[in-house]
Amino acid sequence: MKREEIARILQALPGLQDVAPRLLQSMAGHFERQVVHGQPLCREGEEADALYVLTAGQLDVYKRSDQGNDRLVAHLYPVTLVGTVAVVTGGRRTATVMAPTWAELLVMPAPVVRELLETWDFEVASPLRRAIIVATAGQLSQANRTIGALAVELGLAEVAPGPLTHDLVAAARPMELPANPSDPEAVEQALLKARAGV
Amino acid sequence: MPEPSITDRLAGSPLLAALDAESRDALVPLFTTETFSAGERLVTAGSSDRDLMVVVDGSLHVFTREGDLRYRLATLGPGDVIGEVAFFDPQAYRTADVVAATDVVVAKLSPDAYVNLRRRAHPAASSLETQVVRLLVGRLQAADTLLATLLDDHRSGRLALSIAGLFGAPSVGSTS
Repeated sequence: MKREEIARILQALPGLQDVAPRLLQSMAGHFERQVVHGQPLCREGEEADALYVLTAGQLDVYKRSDQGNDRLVAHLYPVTLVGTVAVVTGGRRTATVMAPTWAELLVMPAPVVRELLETWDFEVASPLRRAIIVATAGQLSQANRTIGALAVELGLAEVAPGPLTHDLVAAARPMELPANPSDPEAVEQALLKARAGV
Repeated sequence: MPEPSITDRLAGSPLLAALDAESRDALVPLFTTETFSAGERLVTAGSSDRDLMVVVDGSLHVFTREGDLRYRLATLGPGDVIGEVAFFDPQAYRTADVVAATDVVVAKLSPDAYVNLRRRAHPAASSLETQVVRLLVGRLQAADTLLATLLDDHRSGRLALSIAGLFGAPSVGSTS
């Protein structure tokens, strides 16, 4: 993939829109394209070796529960940063990320990310930090919506006072209940569907 | 012993305490304080205000919405941060209602003050961004772990008990 094309993809990331094209092209030089088919991109507990930009396809995020089971907790869609937590903390992967079918990614080695964040030009490092903030906050918001959907399912939510704004009505569609609510698999799929806004 | 001042409490909050002294000294004076009475709404979901807030005193409830229902997602207290998403993303809107559970004092930082630091490539802008990243990744880890455990509980039939512990007793139909 050409550097100009990578720079154009990077510019679509929230937080990077106002970065000068010459700086995006400089950043683009540190990314390599990778395609994964139905395999783990990274596993929970592994050392973090890269930061990813999901450019096409879909990724699923599995988190290990306190009981030691891997649970599907999020779907990720392009264009978004993936693998920010471990790269930022310098620790190990905190979740397993899989491509259920296929996914195209841009990959930046973790040491380059850390060097970029700590020593590179402020004009590049600051937007990258903001892009990480927006991506991480988006994933946190997804997790919270799913937790909320569980509360709604159990009748633990309350009627919200006051009208919703137009944007929020569009963003907060009620969950579509599965045909068989007693089937945990069906409920999980419905929750994930609601969270992804599908 | 006298109570710590609002400035001292702000400087000692998780957002600012970990910063280097130069960054903290540059940021603290840029915050303004505001007080709210119990029951007042500080943030309305869907609105476009973008201040970053640090709770200095009191407690607040965070409600997110699902259709025309809302659920209490968290209760915040001194040192907690509100509004980091809209603060850093001009295209974002508020995603939750935040309501004062008690009388509350918050310290606010405007996006303009931060942008001004950023334009000057002031180290405080970098420090603030870095610290917000750290706080967010910690919250994401905690939320994903909670979610995985709730899904476990769903399969074992213990979900209702677990989630009732998070959200309190069912209250469908109430209009607090």
